[in-house]
This record gives sequence, C-alpha cells and structure tokens, in this order.
Amino acid sequence: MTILVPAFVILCMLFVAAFATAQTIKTPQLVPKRLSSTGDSITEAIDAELPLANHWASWVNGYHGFWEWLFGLTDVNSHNQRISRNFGAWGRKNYMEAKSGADMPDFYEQTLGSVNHQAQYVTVFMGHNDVCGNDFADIPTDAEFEANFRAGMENLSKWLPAGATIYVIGIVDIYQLWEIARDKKALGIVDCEVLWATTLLDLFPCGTMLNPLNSESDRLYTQSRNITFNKILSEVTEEYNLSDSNHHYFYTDAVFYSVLSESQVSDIDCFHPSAIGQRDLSRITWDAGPFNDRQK
Amino acid sequence: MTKRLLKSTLVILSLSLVLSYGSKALAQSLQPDIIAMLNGEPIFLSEIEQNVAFQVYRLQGNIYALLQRETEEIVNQKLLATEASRRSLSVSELLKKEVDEKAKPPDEKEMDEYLAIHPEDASKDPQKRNKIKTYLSQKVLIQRKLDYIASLREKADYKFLLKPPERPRIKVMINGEPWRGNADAPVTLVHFADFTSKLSAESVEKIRKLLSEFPDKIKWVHRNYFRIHDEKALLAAELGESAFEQGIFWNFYDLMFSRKGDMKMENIGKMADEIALNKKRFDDGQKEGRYLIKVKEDLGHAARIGVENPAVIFVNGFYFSGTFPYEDLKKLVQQELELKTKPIKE
Repeated sequence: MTILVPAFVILCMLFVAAFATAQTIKTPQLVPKRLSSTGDSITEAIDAELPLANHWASWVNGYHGFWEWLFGLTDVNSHNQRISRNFGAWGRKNYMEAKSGADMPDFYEQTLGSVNHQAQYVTVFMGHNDVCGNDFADIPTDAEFEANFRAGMENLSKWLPAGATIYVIGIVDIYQLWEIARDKKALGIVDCEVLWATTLLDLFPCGTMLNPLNSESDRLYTQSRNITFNKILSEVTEEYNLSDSNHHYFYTDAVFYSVLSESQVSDIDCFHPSAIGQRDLSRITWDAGPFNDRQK
Repeated sequence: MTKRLLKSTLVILSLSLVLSYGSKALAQSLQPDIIAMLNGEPIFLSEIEQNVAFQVYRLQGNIYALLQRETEEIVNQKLLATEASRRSLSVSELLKKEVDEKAKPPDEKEMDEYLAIHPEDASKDPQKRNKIKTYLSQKVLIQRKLDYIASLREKADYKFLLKPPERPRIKVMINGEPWRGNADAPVTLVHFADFTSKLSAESVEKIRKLLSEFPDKIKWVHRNYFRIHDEKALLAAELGESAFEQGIFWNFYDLMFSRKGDMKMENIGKMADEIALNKKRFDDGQKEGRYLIKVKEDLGHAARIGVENPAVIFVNGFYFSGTFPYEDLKKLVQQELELKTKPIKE
C-alpha cells in the first residue's frame, strides 16, 4: 500500500504531463510565402493617399514600384514587403481576398479564396462594416457576428495547408476615427462634415458613427459594440488555437488600443486610414504578430 | 613687471573671451528662433519652419487635439471622484445611483415612436425589434451618464487654456516655374493643375477672372499636379515642360485648357503641333527623362505641402482647396492686397 500510493501519484503526473504536452504540439509553422488577406476597405487601402483603392498602400498587401516612386507615395512597408525581406522573394504570392464593404457574413466566402490559394499566412481584419451600419438596427447581434466568424474560421482550419498561420486583428476603434476626423475640420484641412453628410443619403459606409445627426450616446453605443465584437474575435481565435494542432492562430487588439493621430486618417474621406495610417497599421500588427522576431 | 604684464594680458584676453561669448549668448537670447549655427552664421527657425509649415501645423494640431481630449477625460474622472468623495461613495457606487438606477429603459410606446421615425426598421422580424430595443436601452444608459457628467461640469469652473495652432503661410517653391502677370505683384497665385482635368480648367477660368478684376496685382504661377496612373496627364505635363523649355509654354497652356478636359490621348500630340512645338526636341528630352524629373519635382513638392487632388491654389502661401467658390478666392486675394503682402520669395 505504501508503495502503491506514490506509484499511483507518479503515474497520474506522467499522464497529465503527456496530455498537456500533446495539446501544445503543433505542426511546424510554415514560412509565410503565400500570403492571403481577408478584410474590407481598410485592407484595400481605400482613399489612403489617392481616391479609391490604393492597393500599393495596403498595410498587408502593399508594395512600392515605379508609379509609387514617381509620385513620391508613401512606402507603407507592408506585411507583404516584410515577408519578402525576411524570408526571401522566391516563391512569393500576395493575394488580396479583402473587398471594400465586406462584413462578417462575407468572411466565409473570402476564406474560400485563401483556401483556394493554399495560403500559408492568412490575415483577418474584419468587422468594421458590422459595427458601421447605415442604421443601428443593422448592427448584428453577438450571436450573429460570432456564427459568421466561426464559419470562416472553420473553413480555414479544415482546408488550409498544415502549418499555416491565421492572424486575427481586432477591429479599429471607430470612435477614435470620428474624433480625429473632427480635428481635421478644426485645423482647416478639409471639411469632413460635407463628406459625412452623405450618410444621410445612405451612401457613406458608417452612418452609425458618422451621421451628423448622431448624438454622443449613439456614438458610444456603436463603440460598445466595437468592443464586444473584439472580445468575440479574441475568444474564438483562442479556442481554435487550443483545439487545432495543425495550424497556428494569433489575435491582437493592439490596433484598437493604439492612440491615433490626425495624420493617420485620410484627408480624402475623413474616415479610412491614410497611407501613414496604413504604414503604422503594418508596423503595429507586425510587431504584435506571429513573425515579430523578423525585423528586417 | 613682466609677470604683471602677463597677468594683465591674460585678464584682458579672458575678459575679451567672456565678452565675446557673452555677447553671442546675449544675441542668441535676444533672437530665440536661432535653431542652428553654421560656421558662425545663425540659421533661424523661421527659415526652416516655412519649408515644413504644413507638416508642422498638422503635427501641432495633433498635439493640441490629443492634449485636449486627454484633459477632458481627466476632468471627467476628477469630477466624478470629487462628487463621490463628497457623498462618501465610491465612483462605481455613485454611477450606479446616478446612472443605472435613474435610467429608464424604453417601453413599447417609445419603441413605436422610434419605428415611426425609422420606418425602414419596421419589421415583423422579432430579431430586428430586439436589436432596436437593445440599442435604445443602451443609449438611455449612455446618455444618462453623459448628462450626469455634464451637470457636474456646469457647476465646476473649467477652462482649457491651450490655444489651437494658427493656419500657416506655406513656402511654395516657384523658382524657375512658368508664370504670367506682374513679376512684382503683391499677390502670387501658385496653381497646381492638370492640363487634362475639367476641374483644373474651371479653376483656370476663375483665375483669369481674378486677373481681369485685379490687373497688375497678381503673379500667376503654374505647377503640375495630377492623379496616379494618368498617362494622359503625364504626357500633357511633359509636353508642357518641353513647351516651357522652348519658350512657348503659355501658348500650350491656353490651348490645352481651352479643351476643358475633353481630349483623348492621341489628340494631345496633335495639339502640340498646333503651337509648333519642336517634336524632335521633345522626343530627345523625353528619352533623356529630363521632363519626367521635372514633373516628379512638381509632384513631390505638391505632396509635401499638402496637395492631394488637382486643382489647388496657394494665395501668397495660403492653401485654398480646388473646389472653391470664386467669391471666397476673391476675398482672400483682397485680404492679401490689404495687407500689402510681398510676393513669396523665390
């Protein structure tokens, strides 16, 4: 009996250790040569430096070539550029599944693109258009938001190559963008309210924050949804990271908590990140992300 | 004697050094905007600032806004803490009493009133109605808290003392650029424009009107600016540079803008023929990249001083958006004339 008890304890400890070790063993992480971004107009770099899509200025897919040089445009030092510098340019692919106006119900379809492209590194930066509706009744419930997010994550977990990385970034603090754009008007750089007035015609994507008729309590309500959706993104990502041994999952809310300045918001629409904002997005997300030890 | 002479010499030398240093220090203290010294010559902050006035202005604006926002946040926290202390409560207890317990959730009547104003949300779908109810309930709580803090503010004596930055007069480079009007005019208009743009053509007409209303009072300078990937605009800009080189710039300029932005790529070359532009000289210059470099200088300078869309007019260095009403532009010019401001130095 005296011998059995310690033996039993040792056996239990070995069992627990084996179990714990089995949980943390993951398929080795692939080098992120094949990049696929999912997201919305922020990833498309809408109005970053020039009107409409500025793909060269995307925080994740951006690049810097002849036309960018000629116009002296900002080099955003995107994830795409960082990957080439740190891991080599051979075999590189740079896919943008992101589409302006996309919200979480579109996430699943975008992941089909990532899977189709056999991406080794997928970024997820979505939810802004869920928080930004024309109307408050358009903002999804927590359950709806979560269900749509899970649908896409499930697809990625099932079909991406083993060892791929999925990096989820929390939604920007939309309220801060409103504050800063208000500063632009005060500085005489551009009259943002003229642009925002189009929300009254349902032509502008963020009525729930930018409608000039909104009260402060309306804006703070929208911000509260922003915070709740980020919590869902964080929890679901962590759940997949623990249960899926074939892939590597990361989440950050570094972007939400960054203090934004006026120059980081586009002068063209007073809402989307400027090229400087995209450059800072790239830096913040890279430094908080899965390859942050690579700093070339 | 020798020792005394030596000592006196040393004292005089020392005094001279001290006086020399002291006068420099005094000079610097009287001129606080000396930012650097180069071979004994001062470089003034005002010289440097003019080159980067726009960026500095925006950064100052950022700082001002951040400080103001942070101050507001701290003021709110202090007001709540003070009131809580006065009532021997914690802040969370105070908020529970003043916000949670006093905020009335919306009833069905208020729901119906909301739906009457927002008929697009009226739906038999219970999910939609629940979403509206959640929104209205949360909004009531948020509004109650805002109102409560506002009531504390009213009783307090609060002033934000920092002043916002002043809009700068920007140093716009015009050395070696095509110009017309009066070389010594009190007002210089620097027009960043696109030869193939309708909007630029409209702003040209307004500047012409200005010149007719204020004869001899305006110097009008052209610099290129156009959108990325616009091959037509790039070709027109290069032709413009060649026309300037050949001394026929304003012929080209007037001809291009007479089209009011309505032109095809293949027609631009023909327009250059109309003003007898030397085509070989243009081809050689284009191959050498001479015109491209000049255009790039224009684009780079424009971006640096804040131009994002053609056309933009700088009125003695004051930025004026391209979609301006003529009367506002005229008013700005009149103000500058009243100030008798000298043209921007080249």
